[in-house]
Amino acid sequence: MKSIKSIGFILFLSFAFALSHCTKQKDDCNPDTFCDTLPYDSGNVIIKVSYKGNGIPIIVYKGYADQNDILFYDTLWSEENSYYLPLNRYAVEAYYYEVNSTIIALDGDKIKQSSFWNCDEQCYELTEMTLDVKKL
Amino acid sequence: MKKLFILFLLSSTTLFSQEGNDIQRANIRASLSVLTFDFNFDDLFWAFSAGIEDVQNEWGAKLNFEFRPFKKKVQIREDNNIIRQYKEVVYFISIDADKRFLHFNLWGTDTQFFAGTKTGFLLGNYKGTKANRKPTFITTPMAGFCFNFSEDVNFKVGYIHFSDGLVNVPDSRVTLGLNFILR
Repeated sequence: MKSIKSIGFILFLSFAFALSHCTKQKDDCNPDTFCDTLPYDSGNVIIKVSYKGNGIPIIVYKGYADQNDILFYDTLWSEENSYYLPLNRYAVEAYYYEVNSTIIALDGDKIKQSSFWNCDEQCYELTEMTLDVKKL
Repeated sequence: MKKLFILFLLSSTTLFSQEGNDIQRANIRASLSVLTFDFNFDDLFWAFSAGIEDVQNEWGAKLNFEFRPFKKKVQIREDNNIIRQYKEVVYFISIDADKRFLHFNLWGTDTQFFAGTKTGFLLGNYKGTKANRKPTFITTPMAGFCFNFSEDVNFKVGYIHFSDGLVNVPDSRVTLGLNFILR
């Protein structure tokens, strides 16, 4: 039992140490670092589909698909397309019509903005969001 | 599947109870498993479980939590014409029971057969919707070999029938588990 406590304590210390070093500290300063000091209001949403010559109908929802707040309809004529949309959560449904059935593929996520401090300035970063509704 | 589980319970009652004296001799110890994987070529679940092990009568029961450590595209048939494809996060909370029996030597290691079940609820959610996976009660029979490396450590490898209702994932899986019996 004593050994289990020791292992638990070592694991706790390891996690605490790892977590303390996974964020950039406020006193970090690198003048060469690219710093965007203005927060973003929009970002790119990339939608990937399985394209085999026929257009793939998609529905883009604001928020979650079951909230049914439809933002727009589109038909994709390539493997992927990019849309510049306000920072928010989005969901996309792609419709694949087959001989005996229809496959409705769903994916969703939130465009995430993060920030870090560099030379006493708050810098903003935006990650491109990819929604993968390729058919299995 | 339910019939199999009932059959297992009935047979295990006999196997576990044996003689009245054996129950008195039961040597119950805590057991822990953090490296258990149920997998096939299409899917993988990682399990954590803790419970008891009767080292005298060679049976164990555990509370098990397992999950798929990644989001997986799955297809679920909604009706005859519609198949829904989701990115799924899934959890399985179960009570596991297994019985070890026979002893033989395999590659210089004391080896036994084991048979058991995991019985519990499969829960989950999908990306892009707030709708959760419909909770499903499942029983997953399993059987295989148990390699006893020492009195405190064994390694189980076997077959598990994990019927999670997915169109694109077969139910047959391999189960691997490293178990620690605590003193």
